[in-house]
Amino acid sequence: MTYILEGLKEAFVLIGNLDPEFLRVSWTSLWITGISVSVSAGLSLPAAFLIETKRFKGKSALVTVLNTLMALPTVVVGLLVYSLLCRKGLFGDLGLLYTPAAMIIGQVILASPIITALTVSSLEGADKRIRKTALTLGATELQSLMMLAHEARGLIASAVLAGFGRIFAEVGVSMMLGGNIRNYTRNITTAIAFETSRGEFALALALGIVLLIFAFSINLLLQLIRKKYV
Amino acid sequence: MYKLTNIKKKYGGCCALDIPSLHLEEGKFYVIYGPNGAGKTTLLNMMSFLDHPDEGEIVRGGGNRGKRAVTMVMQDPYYFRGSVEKNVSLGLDFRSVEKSVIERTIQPVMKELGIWEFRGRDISLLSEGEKKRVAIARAMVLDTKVILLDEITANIDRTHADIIETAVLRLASGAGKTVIMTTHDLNMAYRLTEDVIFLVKGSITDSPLWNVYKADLTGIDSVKKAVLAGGAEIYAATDKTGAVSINIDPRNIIISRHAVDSSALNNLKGKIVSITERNGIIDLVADVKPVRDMKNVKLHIFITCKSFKDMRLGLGEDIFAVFKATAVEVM
Repeated sequence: MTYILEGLKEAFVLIGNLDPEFLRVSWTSLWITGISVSVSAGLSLPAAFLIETKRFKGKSALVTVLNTLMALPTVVVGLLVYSLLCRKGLFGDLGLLYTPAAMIIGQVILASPIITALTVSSLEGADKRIRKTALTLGATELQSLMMLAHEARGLIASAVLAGFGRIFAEVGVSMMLGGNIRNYTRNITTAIAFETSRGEFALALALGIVLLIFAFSINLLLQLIRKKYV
Repeated sequence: MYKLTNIKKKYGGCCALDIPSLHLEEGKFYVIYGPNGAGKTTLLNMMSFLDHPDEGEIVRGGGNRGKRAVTMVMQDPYYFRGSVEKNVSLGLDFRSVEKSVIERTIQPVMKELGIWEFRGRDISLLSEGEKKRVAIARAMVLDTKVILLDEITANIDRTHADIIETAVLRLASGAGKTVIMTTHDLNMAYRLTEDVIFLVKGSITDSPLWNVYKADLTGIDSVKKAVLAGGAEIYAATDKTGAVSINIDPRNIIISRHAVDSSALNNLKGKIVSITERNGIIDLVADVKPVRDMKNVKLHIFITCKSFKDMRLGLGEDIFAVFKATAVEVM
């Protein structure tokens, strides 16, 4: 047990001293996840609005598929995208494997079903009178959708944050598609796995603590949003 | 302004609307009266193009384009998060009206409806009556040619209802404005306009719906006993049996000072409890005792001013209300 306590102590020293390696991997995690969640939200939110507001055949089946994809294993996504980006793969010529771009592609695939499914669920639960009242006041279809988004903004923000939380903490996609290259694609989760495997327990613990702090912050933010807007 | 032809709408296999023909003129104030479930909201939704008929055609003056020429206040509208002012100016925002113009436009309307002083207040802090005034204001500021109002005074107290009625009357008096309002308060309908349209079970009826009662029809002959709520009994000529709604057209009731020996099966004794003159017709309300002395029934009877003067009728006087079983309309 002492090695854990010692590891913890050393971890706080690393955080306190703003260790360069620790800062680097934290920043890599942040910016890659930030871009991934932005792209994912850009694709998922309009899709969710379309699914919720349009009537089409197979709508409930699509929602069921999306709900299932929320639990998509990260290594499966990693494997799938790897098969497309590796040299022999369909997009092998692009040379994207083991780059941040590959990580972003994988993370977008992971986060999109979560953001889409949760947003569809939020819009389903939103007051049906929102769009109708806006239309009676002369809103265009788009304006009425904007009003719906505005009124359901708390729940939509929650959906996006849930997507962020999911990909910030994933390791499968980052490891398989990013390759854990130092100063390039090494992020918090791949660094934890790497440092643990080579016995650098303190740095792994420090990064683990940061990951927990981020997870806690996201949940805190979710609660604040719910309190204010839902 | 509106021409409806062979309109049919079904919900879950039930016919919600069946209107062969309805023509509403531009610049007039119409009130559509009907009990709950008559199809009033469905009709307004179609007029505002929020809903479409299954069959038939609705033509609005100037064509069906330009939905922004119509504004509707729903019975239970949504109030958007934010201030009262934000809610009132929303429709103008949708039309990209300049901020300074918005301020100039909303101020007089908000003052008229008594909501100017709490324009900065959050909408969630308002009472239901105050919120309804906000809903009316945000429709009025748009200054559209057609305004549809769905049960706007339902579930609010008299003070708020009076303010709203006054504003609606002022609005309807505007040049070229067509106001179509629904209500299940017949007194209010006639207080506001002469053009009352009666809607029952999705169909327009010519009979004024002043004497509508729930009744249980029993018997095997072509003339049934209609037992009203409270146990009162009258006779109705119908093939139907069981729980129904009935209407006795007040124009088809004869009033007499003495019991009449006639073929009419319904001969009810009562007292005059109210006298109102409306558009040259006297509306007498008689508190009548039906065949079995259970619970009294208020019966509206329409007579001409001449008959009223000739008979020298007054409040509290005993009368007999006489009508045939065929005058009872089963709805």
